[in-house]
Amino acid sequence: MKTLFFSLIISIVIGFPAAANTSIVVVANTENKDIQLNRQQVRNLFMGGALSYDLEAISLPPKNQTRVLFNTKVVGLTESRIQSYWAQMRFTGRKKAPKEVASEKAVLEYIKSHPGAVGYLPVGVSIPDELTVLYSTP
Amino acid sequence: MIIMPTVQAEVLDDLEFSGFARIVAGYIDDEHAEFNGYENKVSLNQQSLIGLQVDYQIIDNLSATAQVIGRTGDDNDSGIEWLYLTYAPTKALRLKLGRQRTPVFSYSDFSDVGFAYNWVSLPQQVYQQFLFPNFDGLHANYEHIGENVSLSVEAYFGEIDRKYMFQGDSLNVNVDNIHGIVSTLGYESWTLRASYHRGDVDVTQQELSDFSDILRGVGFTQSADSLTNVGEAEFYQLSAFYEDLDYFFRSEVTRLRTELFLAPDSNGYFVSGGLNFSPFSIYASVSRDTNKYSASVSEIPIGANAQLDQLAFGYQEIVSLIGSNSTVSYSIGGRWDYRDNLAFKAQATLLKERDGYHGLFTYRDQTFDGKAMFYQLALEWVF
Repeated sequence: MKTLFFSLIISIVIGFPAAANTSIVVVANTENKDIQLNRQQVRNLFMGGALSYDLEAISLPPKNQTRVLFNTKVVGLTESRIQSYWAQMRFTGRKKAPKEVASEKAVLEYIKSHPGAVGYLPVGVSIPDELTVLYSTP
Repeated sequence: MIIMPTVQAEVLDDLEFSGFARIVAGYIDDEHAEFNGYENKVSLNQQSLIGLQVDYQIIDNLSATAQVIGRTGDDNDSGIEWLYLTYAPTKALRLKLGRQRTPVFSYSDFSDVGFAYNWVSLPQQVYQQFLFPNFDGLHANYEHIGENVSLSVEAYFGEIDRKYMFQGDSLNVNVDNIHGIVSTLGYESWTLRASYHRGDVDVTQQELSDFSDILRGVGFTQSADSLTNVGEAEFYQLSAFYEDLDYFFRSEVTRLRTELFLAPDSNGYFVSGGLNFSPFSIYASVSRDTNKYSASVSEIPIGANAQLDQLAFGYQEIVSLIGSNSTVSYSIGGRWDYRDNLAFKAQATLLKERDGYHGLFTYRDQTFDGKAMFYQLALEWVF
């Protein structure tokens, strides 16, 4: 019931039904093609955690549907709580939110031109060979 | 002249301005007492505030930050809250040098950033204790992200030399050698935090020290000592937070031990749980404390002569202003995230003195029964 309510709210906010079945892939521009992350590591990476790999997370804007899916499937927090978290991090001098780019297309462009950059995309977007898929949601 | 605009643009690129503001309206539904400056009519100028932050990236891993807060309220203590350099030699290690908020409890260092939490007011019994919000010194943070667990360890040391307003009194606070260690463990949707802090405190409240000096001058050393505000203070804290898309649960337990006359030994805790219906959330909280002041002495003889009687009376007057007590509050509330940087909140709290001396309310009259409803609305903004 709650999940139904939640997707209803998402639908209202986004303007069309959220494609809740779409998977998310996390893609990076790394020399090491063997890096594999689990959900917890991806979550930590996008919440500003210092992974042992030299990776720079980039994100999509709050109302973007892929971001909503990423929040739901990977981070496990509502957008409101994520915004609260970044306010806490910024005003206590701890961490800064990932750089945001406007669209999925811009994410791919950014990653291709920035070694170490990591972003999330909906499954089905064609990923250039030079990029590595670090994680995909089940 | 020609290169000036470029240089300026580059400087501006490395400068970031941001801030937060809150407008809080509150009302005590009881005409017989006041609480934290709130009374039986709506007030907007107790907790409303604005904070501005400037970050400047000096070089790759070195930056400077200043944060200034303008407050309303009776204990108005506006000014520079943060002013520090951050040096991050690696992604996992971060050092901050300068004036900073003391990270005593889970919400201590961002209690002013209302946007960052769900309550209108943080649980009274844990967050209204006699604490020192800022220190000048060094803070180090090391973080390790494992496959399933994340761990962060913070340590800091420094000193405090500042004038504070506390319940309308001006206090000169001097803390040498304040230090603490904080460990935070993240696992799945859980965050566990444990910390320990201590300092050598010297608080001067002018009238109190003057009177204590008089007592000492005429030989009543025990009485003078019992009013002292010099000594060690120790804080312990433990918290467990859980949060997912649908639910959240937060609990924190705190313990404070001091040797000061003005600050009681306190134990406090809160338990809070709620539901998310993004962009709304609702919660219920219980928070409770016990405060124990050090015992007074009866050293000054009564009835010997008028001057001694006056001293004895003065001493009794002072110790009668404080007394051990226990209090509780029950809250329900909600939050609506109207925009990504703007939220509305409402909270209703039953404040109740459980037993012992006055613990929560000020300016009470004779008929007051020690409990009152407290209603609050807030607008929270970050920019």
